[in-house]
This record gives sequence, structure tokens and C-alpha cells, in this order.
Amino acid sequence: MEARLKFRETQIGKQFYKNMLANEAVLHHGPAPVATMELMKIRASQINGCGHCVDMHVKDAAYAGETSERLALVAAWREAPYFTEPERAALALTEEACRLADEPGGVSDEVWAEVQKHYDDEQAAALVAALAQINAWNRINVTLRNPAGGYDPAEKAKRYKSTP
Amino acid sequence: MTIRLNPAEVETLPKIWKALAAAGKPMQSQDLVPRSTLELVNLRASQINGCSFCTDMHTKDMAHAGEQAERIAMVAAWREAPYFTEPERAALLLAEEATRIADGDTGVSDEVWAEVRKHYDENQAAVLIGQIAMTNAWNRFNVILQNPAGNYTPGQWG
Repeated sequence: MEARLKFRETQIGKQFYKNMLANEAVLHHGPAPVATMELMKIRASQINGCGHCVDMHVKDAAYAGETSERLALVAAWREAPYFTEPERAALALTEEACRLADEPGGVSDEVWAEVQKHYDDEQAAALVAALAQINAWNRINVTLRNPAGGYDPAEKAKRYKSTP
Repeated sequence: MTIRLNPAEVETLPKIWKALAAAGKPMQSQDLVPRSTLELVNLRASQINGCSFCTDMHTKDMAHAGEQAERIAMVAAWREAPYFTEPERAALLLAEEATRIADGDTGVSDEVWAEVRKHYDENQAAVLIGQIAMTNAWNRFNVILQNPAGNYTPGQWG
């Protein structure tokens, strides 16, 4: 299986990718917990059926020490005992913010109130930005059928370590 | 979190579950479709239906049976993953369309059914349908009752 287009080898793709990665670095070193954002990225990528992104974020999460029980239950987290109240608020936000299509309700007041209960404005902004980023990545990788399975989490960990 | 109806108090519930488990026997006891393929179907349907209890159970059963962590992790987004055979991909396609039949969807397409029949004969296809029906039924019980996940041990029901 090969991607439909080598996105990063186009001029526009290269520049876009660079900017998206700069956004990711801002979020990685930002006010919201990285482990929570990984859960959100996994859930969004599952909903959007993005194999490339699920592979990446499951591996990133495991590399950072996430347990296999939590990783297995992200896809159906509601009755699982493994997630904290702030994490559950972030996952509820993720689901509603991903399922926008043709849905006038968007993100409900109930879900947003839960987010505000557990996160301050800076953190909430980071969560919203993280969701915008992962949904953008999902679109690129699903549209281009970017193959999954080849991702190595050590590389990203090294990059973030060298740019504090 | 506690289950909405306690099977220790509501005696009708375990009776229904016992009958439902018996209905699942033909799929379990025959070697028509590999057990590992049926587990992929179980897990994918349970993910789509957001069933924590079943997702916990099937991921643990799969790991217990020797399934690779990569394959388990990628069931939720299997299309671009290199881990699944063509017959498994056909079974996952069927599981997705057959699970998403609610309101306004068009059921299982001719394309997906053709993929299924390319890899499975009539009896094997019947097993797949039976398994998808069973899993969706279990998903309904556990989602409606908010059955807490996390306590399952592989083999606890024999």
C-alpha cells in the first residue's frame, strides 16, 4: 500500500507540514497534559478511521508509558474505570468536536461545561487547538491513504527533547 | 459506576443472557471461520457501538489467544494498516456496514457483500453474520445497562 500522493515532497505540502509541526510543538510544550492530548488524538483518529494516525499515537502513548488497558479502552471509554474526570471531559469534547458533519448542534453546552469544570481557559484553548490539529492530520492521511504501521515513536520523542 | 440492573437481583436477566450465549454456540463450536477473525469482528462492532464492557473483554481475549498488540491497536482504523489479510479485511468491512444500519443508512452494500463472498463460502458467511448479530446484541445489553468494564478475566465464562 502506498500513499496516493507524497504530500511532503510537494512544495505546498512541505511548507504546510512544517507549520503544522510547529503548532504541535507549541501544544506539546503548552498548558494541557500531553497524555490527555494523546488520548484525544487516538479517539479522533479512530472516529475518522485514520490508520496512520492511530498507529502513530498509540505508539507515542505507549512509548510515554501509557498502559495497554487504557489504550484498548479509548475506543469505548465511557464504562471503563481507567479514565479520570478531566480525561473523560476531554474525550467527550473530542467525540462531539469530531462529529461535526451535517450536525447543527456541534459541541453541546453540557460537554463544554464539563471541559470548563476541569480546565482553565489556557488549557481549554490548547485542547481545542489539539483537536483542530488532529482533525487536519486525519483529513490529510485518510484522503491520501497514507499507510500505517511504519511509525517509530523514538524519533518524535527525541525531537521534543532537543527543542524544549 | 454500577450496572443499571443487577443480574444478582433481577433473575430474568441471567436467564436471557444464558439463552443468548447458547445462541452464540454455533459460531463458537465450528471451525468454519478462524476464531481470530471472529474476534476482529467482535472488537470492531463493540468499538463502533461504544461498548466498554465488550471492548475490554474482546481485547483481553485476543491478547490471551496470542493476538499481536499492533493488530489489536489497529482494529479501530484498519484500512491503511498492513496487519490484516484480505479475508480479514472483508470480515471487517462487513462488520462495519452491518453494525451501522441505523436510520437512513443503506444497509450492507453489494460491493461489501461481493468482497465477503470472494473470501467466504455460504456457511462461512452465515457464521460471520451470526457473529455480528450476536456482538451487536451483547453491545446493546452492556451499553444500555452501562455495564462497568475493566474486571474481565479471559476464560471466566469457560
